[in-house]
Amino acid sequence: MTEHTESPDEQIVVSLRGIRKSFGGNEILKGIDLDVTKGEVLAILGSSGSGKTTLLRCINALERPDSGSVRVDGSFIDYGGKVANRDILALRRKTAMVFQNYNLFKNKTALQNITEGLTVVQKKSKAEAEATARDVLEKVGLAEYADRYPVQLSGGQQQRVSIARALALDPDVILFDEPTSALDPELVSDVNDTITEVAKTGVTMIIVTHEIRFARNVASRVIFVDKGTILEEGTPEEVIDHPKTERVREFLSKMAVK
Amino acid sequence: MELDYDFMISDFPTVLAGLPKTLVLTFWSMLWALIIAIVFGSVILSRVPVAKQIVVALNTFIKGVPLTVQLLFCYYAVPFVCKWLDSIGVYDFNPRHIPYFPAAVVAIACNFGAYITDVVVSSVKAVDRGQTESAAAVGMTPLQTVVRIILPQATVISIPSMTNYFIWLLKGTSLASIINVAEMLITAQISAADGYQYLEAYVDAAIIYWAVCAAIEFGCDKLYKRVGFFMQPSRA
Amino acid sequence: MPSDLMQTVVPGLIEHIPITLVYWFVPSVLSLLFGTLLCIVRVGRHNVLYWICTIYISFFRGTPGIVQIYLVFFGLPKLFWIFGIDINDWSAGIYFIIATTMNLSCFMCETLRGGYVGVDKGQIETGLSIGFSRTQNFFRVIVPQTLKVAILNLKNLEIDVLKDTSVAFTIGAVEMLGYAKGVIAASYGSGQLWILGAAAVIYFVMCTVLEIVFTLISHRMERYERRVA
Repeated sequence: MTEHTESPDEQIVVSLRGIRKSFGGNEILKGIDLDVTKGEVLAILGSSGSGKTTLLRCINALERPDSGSVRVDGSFIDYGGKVANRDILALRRKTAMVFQNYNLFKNKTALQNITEGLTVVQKKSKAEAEATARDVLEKVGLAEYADRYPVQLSGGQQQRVSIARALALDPDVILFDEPTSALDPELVSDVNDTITEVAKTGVTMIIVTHEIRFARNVASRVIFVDKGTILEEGTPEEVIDHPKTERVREFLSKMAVK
Repeated sequence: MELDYDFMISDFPTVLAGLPKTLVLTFWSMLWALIIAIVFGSVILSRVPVAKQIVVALNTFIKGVPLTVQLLFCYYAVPFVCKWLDSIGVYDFNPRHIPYFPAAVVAIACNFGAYITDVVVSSVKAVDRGQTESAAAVGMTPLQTVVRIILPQATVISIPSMTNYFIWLLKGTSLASIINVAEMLITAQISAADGYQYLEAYVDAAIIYWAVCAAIEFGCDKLYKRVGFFMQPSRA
Repeated sequence: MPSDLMQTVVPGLIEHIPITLVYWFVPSVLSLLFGTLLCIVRVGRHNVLYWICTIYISFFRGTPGIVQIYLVFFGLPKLFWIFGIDINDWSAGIYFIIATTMNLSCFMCETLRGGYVGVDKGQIETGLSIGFSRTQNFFRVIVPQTLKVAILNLKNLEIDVLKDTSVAFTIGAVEMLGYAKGVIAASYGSGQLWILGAAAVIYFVMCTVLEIVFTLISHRMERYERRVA
């Protein structure tokens, strides 16, 4: 259990209770409870099939849990009963996601990819949206690529635009689903640097990754998911340097990182 | 070869004069075929249980019947339909001017609509699923996602197949000559009737069809290269 | 429903199924042969023969089938006349078969070409490295693999050929629709929709049978590809 009792200066942004999810008879998530406080950078580690990506996608309802509840800031959804699409939309508008495959809109330029969410969803004016978009592109170092289409950008550049898109929405939490897994090795460090910069701004982040070294450097808290439950949680030093369970030790040694 | 070359040359403009009629028939048929395809395609994509089965069954039947049969069916059905419309006051039926052109449009549009439905469905399905998820994650409503992201991409994806069917449809309009509808082939036949110089007239018609189809193929190819450059398969 | 009429017409329609199938089958077999030959040229070097075939194919794909039928019907006698051969007593059906074969060969060629391009080149190289002669390799490796990839498009082509037999009546070759038209003309326009409807159903049934047969063939060809779960 990773519940916190709220202290005055700690504000819980994301709260999961009893999340269960099965796919075709296999129970992937077996009743997960999780709290994430504001400004935290939470790294979710685990092997393939452990359920870590499913867990992340349950937060913004890209996967619907079979049961349990999700709260993001003020939006609360109980998956035990009937779920209104309106509620899901409201919750999604508080989160932003960076996908493994970047998933930039292919038919829009880098700039338009960012302004889409601002104008269409957040109903900002075109001028305001463009200003914000150029600003975040600057932050990720891609200001001069504003008018390029995703097909004209490298994988790393696309991912950084994707991060910029997430930033521009000013969400309560940014969800990262294995952001560097689909990248060529030489592009990985640029993206990791960008993510580290974003972390410095104090925005709440949840990162599913299997880059142990990166997790250790950027995360403020780490949880290890195995077979649908949270096996260990703690600071990076605790979980990565001094794992308490055999399973985590086994995993880390296979990843050959120290 | 014993061909009346003079006639071939002199008849060419006459046959060419039938081309606009062919193009008009093509245009209206393609338009209605697209409308049918989008409606049916939406039903199939929406996966509404009974409606989807009905649409699929209907399309399967239409695809299993030759266009000639469908054209003849509409041809013979026109008087009945007109009389019925007359009886409910919507239309003035004049037995001397039976509107066979709409009959041809209906037959061709239904036939091709069934095939183009498959193009619509497969094009929408070909839009990378990640695009939809991305739009959802950003907070777009399903409608916004469809209009701003899926539709533009599906349209571009569909261009090569649509071009094929467009050319096929244009060639198919020549069958409307069987039911006395004014288009290019029947124009050629009429022009040749006097001197029985059918072969020459058909050669003229063939050349024009060939040129038009080549032009359409070329044009759509260029179009696809222009608008399709941003489409690229996503990495695994 | 004019049941008297239907009782005579439907058997008549069914009686014309064989000739319809002849008009479907003969061009199909001939086109498989010619289409293969065309395909071999088309995947080869860009010599004169290649360009001749390319233009030939472009013509037959860019003009309507009915125009091609008319061209053959009116043009072939004149062509043969140059060699002093009088073919005016040929039945209309032969012209239809010739025109359809010429047309279908082109589409077959392109379909087979698509199939050939889709064959894993490693398969071909393996065949040669085992020691197959080029001919053996062709028949034992290339042909089966090409057909496997092309089979679905071939299915669609064959269904279209079946439906296009209905155009034969325009040059006087009587098959099922030709018979139906004849009955309609003779009965002064009563019951036309029923007759055409019956013909439509029969065509639909034939096309469905064809579809099922091809799908079964396709499944059989893929049975070695199905992974053990």
